[in-house]
Amino acid sequence: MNNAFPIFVLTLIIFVTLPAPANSAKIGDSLPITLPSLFDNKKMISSNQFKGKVLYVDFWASWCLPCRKSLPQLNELRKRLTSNGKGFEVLAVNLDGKPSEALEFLNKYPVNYPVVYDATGKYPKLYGVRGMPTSYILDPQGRIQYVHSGFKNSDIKKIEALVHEMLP
Amino acid sequence: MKCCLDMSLKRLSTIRFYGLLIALLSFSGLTACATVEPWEKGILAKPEMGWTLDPVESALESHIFFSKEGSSGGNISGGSGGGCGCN
Repeated sequence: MNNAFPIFVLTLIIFVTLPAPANSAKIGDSLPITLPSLFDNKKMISSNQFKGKVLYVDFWASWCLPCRKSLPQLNELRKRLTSNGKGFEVLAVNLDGKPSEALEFLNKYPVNYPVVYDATGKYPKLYGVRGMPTSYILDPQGRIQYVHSGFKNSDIKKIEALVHEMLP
Repeated sequence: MKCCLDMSLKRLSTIRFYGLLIALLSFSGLTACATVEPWEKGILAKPEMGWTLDPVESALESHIFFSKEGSSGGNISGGSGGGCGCN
């Protein structure tokens, strides 16, 4: 008992001082996003608006190099799929410190899909984003089916194949 | 006499233990490590936060680094390689 008590107390101290584990979204989770549009902060956009479509939720920031690569590629993918009348949409969640930084980037490289701005980092925390960019592919019912971390040019083919599999 | 000595030693070790406990608890309150979330690294990604402001020099440094170390990343110029120096 005398030996066990100090060990118990030390273990307790270690656990108390450890940072709390981050939440992380799991496959099958439904975590609706409602945020103001980056272009008009009075206009709210919700992921629920896109139910019935495969939704590609992309957490990005203009300072992140792989994110900058991914945006034009996602725009092209969206163009390809929507021109075929497929139920697909991209919802980009911008996480820049200031919305003006994202707007400056999008002025140079415009995209046709909705972009929302998360000023507080509520949604990346909820989804458990561990790196930039991280994307979540949601099925037509709004449930997470696939998580993609990082981005390189060759990834777009894999993403396209996954979206095709999930299309209604 | 032996009994009294045993008791005072026991008391001393109890005092030491609680002293250590208080010290550890105090140190745990001094932790200054705040977690920087991935989306909060915008300032660190600014060019002026790099080791050098010259992009050519930065790319050269980066190339030398990944050729020698077989690893890359964490800097502005980026790049990748397996250590062969052929990229």
